[in-house]
Amino acid sequence: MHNEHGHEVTIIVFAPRSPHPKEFRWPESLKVGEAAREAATAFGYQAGNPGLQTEGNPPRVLDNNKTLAEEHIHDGQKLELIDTGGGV
Amino acid sequence: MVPFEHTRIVVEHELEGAQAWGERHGVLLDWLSDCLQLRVTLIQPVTEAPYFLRAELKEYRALPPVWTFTDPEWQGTSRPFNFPKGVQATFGSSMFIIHNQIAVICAPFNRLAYADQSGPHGDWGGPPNWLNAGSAHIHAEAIGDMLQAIYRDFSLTRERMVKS
Repeated sequence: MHNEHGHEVTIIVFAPRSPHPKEFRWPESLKVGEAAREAATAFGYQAGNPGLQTEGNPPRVLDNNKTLAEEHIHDGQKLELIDTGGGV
Repeated sequence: MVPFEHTRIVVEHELEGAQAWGERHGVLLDWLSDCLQLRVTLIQPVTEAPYFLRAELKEYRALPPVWTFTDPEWQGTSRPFNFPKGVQATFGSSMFIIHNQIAVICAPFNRLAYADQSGPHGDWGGPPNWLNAGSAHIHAEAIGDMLQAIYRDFSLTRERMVKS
């Protein structure tokens, strides 16, 4: 689907704290980091360094600085919210 | 002092999300409500060796859980053989470290990471400050988030912290 922002995709996002996913509609030109931040807020996260990863084993962690299109995210794809901070 | 029943209710509410996370990732969670203990068996990639991750949840959420890897009988703490060897990743340093000969999951959401529990961090304001501690590090406020964080680093490991 197109709108004034270009092509949009519908993404199903899971969060480790929630039993239910949420659906988001984002322009493909949106940065992964911005999408992750929006999803994190929707799930009630108020701090941290949100990111997104694909389904699968092993999952692929998306680059927060790339757009959804650059990360080849397609309509209907399922992603999981993660925190990208380090340990120690 | 957090009443036992209060902690149980809070944990079981959070476990709804954590159980769903476990199903998505093929990870089995075993909740022992009578002793407020969560047991999680993780299978290491490539080696397929089982690791036994345990959380003691007394005083949660006033204090963070006590996360550690144990032996197959779910006993013992901090023995390096029971831990995976951490791998440096794009996220930064692994949270699986040795501090003063003791293995620890080093993250703000683990009570054992704090200096008053023999952990390395005297700079995080003590376990009661866990929700605000270490803002530059991995952040997790609910049990499902903590499991995802530990699993993220665990999935990169390929061997034990020590051979025996």
